[in-house]
Amino acid sequence: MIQRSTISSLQDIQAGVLVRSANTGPRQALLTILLIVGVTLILGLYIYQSAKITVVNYNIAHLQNDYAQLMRENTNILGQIAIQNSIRRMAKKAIGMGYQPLDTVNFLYVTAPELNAPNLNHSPPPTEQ
Amino acid sequence: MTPPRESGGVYRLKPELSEADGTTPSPTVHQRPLEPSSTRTWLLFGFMVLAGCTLTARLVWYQFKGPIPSASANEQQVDPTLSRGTITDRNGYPLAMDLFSYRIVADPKLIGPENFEAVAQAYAPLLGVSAEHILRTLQENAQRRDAELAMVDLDTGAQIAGDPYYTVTAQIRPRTIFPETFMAAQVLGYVDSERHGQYGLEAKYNDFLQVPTAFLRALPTPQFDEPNPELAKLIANSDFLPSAFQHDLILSLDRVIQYIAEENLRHAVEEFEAEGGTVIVMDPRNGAILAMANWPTFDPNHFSDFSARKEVFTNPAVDAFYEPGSVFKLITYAAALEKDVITPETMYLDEDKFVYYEQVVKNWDERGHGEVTTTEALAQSLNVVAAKIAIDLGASEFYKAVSRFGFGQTTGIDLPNELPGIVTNPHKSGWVPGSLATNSFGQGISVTPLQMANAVATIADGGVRHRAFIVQALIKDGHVRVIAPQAQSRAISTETAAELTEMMVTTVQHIPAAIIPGYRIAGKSGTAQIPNPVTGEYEENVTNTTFVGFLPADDPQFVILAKLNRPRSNTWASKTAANLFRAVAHDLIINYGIPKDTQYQPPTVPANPQ
Repeated sequence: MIQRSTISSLQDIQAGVLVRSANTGPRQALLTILLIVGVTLILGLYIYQSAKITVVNYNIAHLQNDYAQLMRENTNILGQIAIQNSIRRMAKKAIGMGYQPLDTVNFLYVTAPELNAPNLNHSPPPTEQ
Repeated sequence: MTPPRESGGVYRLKPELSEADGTTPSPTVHQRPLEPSSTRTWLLFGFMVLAGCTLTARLVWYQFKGPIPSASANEQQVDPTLSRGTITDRNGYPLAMDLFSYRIVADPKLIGPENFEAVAQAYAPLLGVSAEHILRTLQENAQRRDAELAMVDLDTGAQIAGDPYYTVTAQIRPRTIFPETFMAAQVLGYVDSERHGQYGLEAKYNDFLQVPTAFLRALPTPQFDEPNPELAKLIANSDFLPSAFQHDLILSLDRVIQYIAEENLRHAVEEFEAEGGTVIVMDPRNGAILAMANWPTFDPNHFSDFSARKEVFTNPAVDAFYEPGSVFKLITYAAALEKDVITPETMYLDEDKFVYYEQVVKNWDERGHGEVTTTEALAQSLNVVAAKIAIDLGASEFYKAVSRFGFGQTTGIDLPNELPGIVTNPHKSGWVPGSLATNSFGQGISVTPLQMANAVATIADGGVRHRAFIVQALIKDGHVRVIAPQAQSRAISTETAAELTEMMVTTVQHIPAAIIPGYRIAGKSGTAQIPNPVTGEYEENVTNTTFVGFLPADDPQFVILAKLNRPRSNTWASKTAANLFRAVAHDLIINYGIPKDTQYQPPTVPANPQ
């Protein structure tokens, strides 16, 4: 009795699998395959875009590094210019070259010509014959 | 016998065979449909669709929106340390700016002692240091992961940064330099090794100047929050503005005027054997500080060399007060003129000694000068007359005027640690009626040099007191914020200011050291005794000397305060500080081409022949 029952159970299990397979059907299998294909495609696209973005990001970072390096070099050059143009340094150089600080300032006052006065010395431009 | 699964199984088997009938049911017959299995399939399907939609949405976003590089991601690649903005003078010349270099660091543990010699030999020529130095550094730091070998320029650093073995690496390091070395050192402060601003503007504006990111990106041309053609032109023409990071300060200081002030101050300190001194040059029309010089000073590029004398880092123009002496008579006279207590011609009897509430007042020469006008009394700096005027004015009005001129309160200048000075009045403890007499000629009252300069600038600008300022614009992230000059209050009327100006012009004519032929200069000298902080008594034969004035008297462009601390060769302001004032004024006249008041003669117009 026990043996029969066990065999029956095993048969039932097999039957169940068969039943399940039969119920899943080709439509569901097709759907699943399509789904897998779709997801795979999307994943592929995603990976492709991600890779592309990574490359672009890398290039941007590289360009930014170059830009930063150039800006730093530019700043350093400006710094050297500032040091060379320091007023104390320039005064020292000027005195070394024999210049002396100004001691006095004189103004020459001139009378501005009347703006509306006609310019009598102005000759008309030559005209073509 | 295996019991049937109640629920949650993949599928459900039919019940056990009945012993009664002994039949086996058909394998195609189920008591219950495959519902759970179907639900799971749909759940899985839904999840995949959801994931697909998410991925698709992300793809679409990337496709159309495009990737935005993360600043934080690049920060680490670009620079691990932070830079600071540039500080320039009013003409765009840098007073403080960042330079970049590379810090070369070795990893002795990774290198291994057996390779020290080889590394030292390999890197010595590149770094420009001796192989022995590198070897010694590596050996001393053998158990550490980083040992600084040298600081090198950008080109050299970039070469080392490409080292694939990571045994020696290059780290970018900004360093703040002060191209004008000693210039305006106490105004600017310095930047310590931790990249923090210390003292001066570097401390006051530390958070503003500190660039929050090392990520260098191209920033747009800064736009003004409010139109300012003058500054717009300055920024457009400047090589140094805006800096790469755009966290910059534009000061009201003029480096030429600052240089003039500092050089003349240095000469005066040497000539008069003074312990130090201060020169302030202001624009009375708006309160802008054009120069603020102190001696002794320091070089912010090498601040550690001065660490033994920390007092040189502070700015005595704003954070040290002193008894101003006779220059304070200007306030007494201004208050009395304003209240019509006196006119420039009012007569006073000057005596050799005047006692007021047990307070004995004497003149500088300890003589009485008899009947004098107030103009003469100011010119001769008579303490007795000043005391009498203050008494006639009354304590209440006198101290109100003192307050209107800004004494006893900070000027509001954007420099750290500004002190308000010490001003007594009848409502404060310690004040005695005799204080009015001594305060009238600037003793028993303490002011900062900036307060004194600002008070005289108030007279020069017709009685309007402006807020003193030294930062005129801030550039940050594509914006320029201009600090507009601010008229705070009217201290005296225009008429009073004009009267007092004439009296000051007369005063300068009595001080030969301050006269510049051809120019009308308004000014006043002040020689103040110095109280001993221990005994409370005034020290013998030791003074602080001040001369403060403005020029041209009829169209004031510069207010100059010249102060010398404890000059030894001569203790009188008319012989020391007045000389310093004249030297600064003379150089300003030359550099700014200010014409003589007496030079201009209208040209003779020929008679009309018709």
